[in-house]
Amino acid sequence: MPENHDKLTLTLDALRSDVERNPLADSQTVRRRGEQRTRRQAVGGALAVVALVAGAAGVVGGVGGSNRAEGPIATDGPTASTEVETPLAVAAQPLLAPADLGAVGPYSAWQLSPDPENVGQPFHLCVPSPTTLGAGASTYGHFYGDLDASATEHVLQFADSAGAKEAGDQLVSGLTACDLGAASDNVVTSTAQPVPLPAADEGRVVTREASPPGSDVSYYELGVVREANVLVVLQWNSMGLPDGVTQVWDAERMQAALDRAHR
Amino acid sequence: MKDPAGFDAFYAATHRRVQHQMYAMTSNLADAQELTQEAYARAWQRWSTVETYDDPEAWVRTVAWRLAASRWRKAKNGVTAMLRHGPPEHPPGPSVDTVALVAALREIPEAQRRAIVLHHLAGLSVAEVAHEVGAPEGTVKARLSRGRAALAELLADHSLTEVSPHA
Repeated sequence: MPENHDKLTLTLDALRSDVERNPLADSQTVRRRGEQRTRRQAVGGALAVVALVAGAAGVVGGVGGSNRAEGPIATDGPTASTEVETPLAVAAQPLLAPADLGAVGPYSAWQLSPDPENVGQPFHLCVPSPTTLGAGASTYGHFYGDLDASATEHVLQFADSAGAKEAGDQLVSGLTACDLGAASDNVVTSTAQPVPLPAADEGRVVTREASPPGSDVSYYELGVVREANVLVVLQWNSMGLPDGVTQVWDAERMQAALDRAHR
Repeated sequence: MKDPAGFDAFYAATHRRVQHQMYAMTSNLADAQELTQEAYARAWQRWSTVETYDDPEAWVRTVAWRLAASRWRKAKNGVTAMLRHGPPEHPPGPSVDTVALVAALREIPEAQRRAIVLHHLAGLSVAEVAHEVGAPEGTVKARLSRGRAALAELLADHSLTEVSPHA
């Protein structure tokens, strides 16, 4: 390690004295905090189920409460650990902000518009509309930018994790198995790529680039990110892959989407 | 079945490091404590999975960082929110140097601060930092270089700008 590297490390190391004067709680206290958190989530999840069953959740727009329930959950009893499924509630305003989407290559001037008229329309011929997959509630937004690029986001709340996972699987398999006959000429569809997200149960991205004879290149990217029963579906469409971009739905945007969705 | 003894040993071995790194990242000791404890509480919730990871400490650190980023994101203006943070709330008797360093860290952009903390404090290589933050290595090198230059200027210590990142 070079000497001047040590210099900066030593400078930062000066903060250690503050840390040592202000120690954290012991590990038993931290475990109790985790278990209390689990119990609060169980209560929040039960309330969310009641809301779903009662039909309190709307079909489109403005769904959910401000519960900060998160999962998946492991609940500890006094003497044993038991895995318990507790549904999460979505946030009051669960969609990405335009600033979260940020600059995607040359595209950056985003406006977010809830667009109920188009909510049931597939964004891609091979990918079913996320609202048709059995979610108890959903919130939808359409990001408009330049004319040749747009994105959509669906935040879907299912009754349980299995339903959310199955919906994500259907979306992904719809695209990876997509065959549009002659219109599929010159198409490159990726396999589902996992996106590592430490605070999510799963994140996947599938891309599809098509250049039919006589047509411009179109680029479509599907991202699905899930935590417990909450599934966020992100779709992107532009004329070709934006310059300087390798993946639109990268870990940062997907985690931001999940953070917005249920926290 | 979760293993409390394994978690306790992991916590004992790592929590001061994570708290230290979060302090440098957030420039706020109270926030660092809260974020670190919350990240470990979440780790305990999923301990049967987290303990199987190659590097559970990296998982905790990343969760703590994402919690911080989420809080900033929820503010109307993330930069404004960060600037609103006052000096460390309960640092009994910090040295003048520490106060200056905390103030300097608060001044440099979030991405540069994170790269510097991961590289110079957590000891990650440039490639490891790139993997953890999800950015190309070239971008990480640029953030390190700019962050060091900014810190050097703020601390009036130009020897900090002579650093070459270790691979």
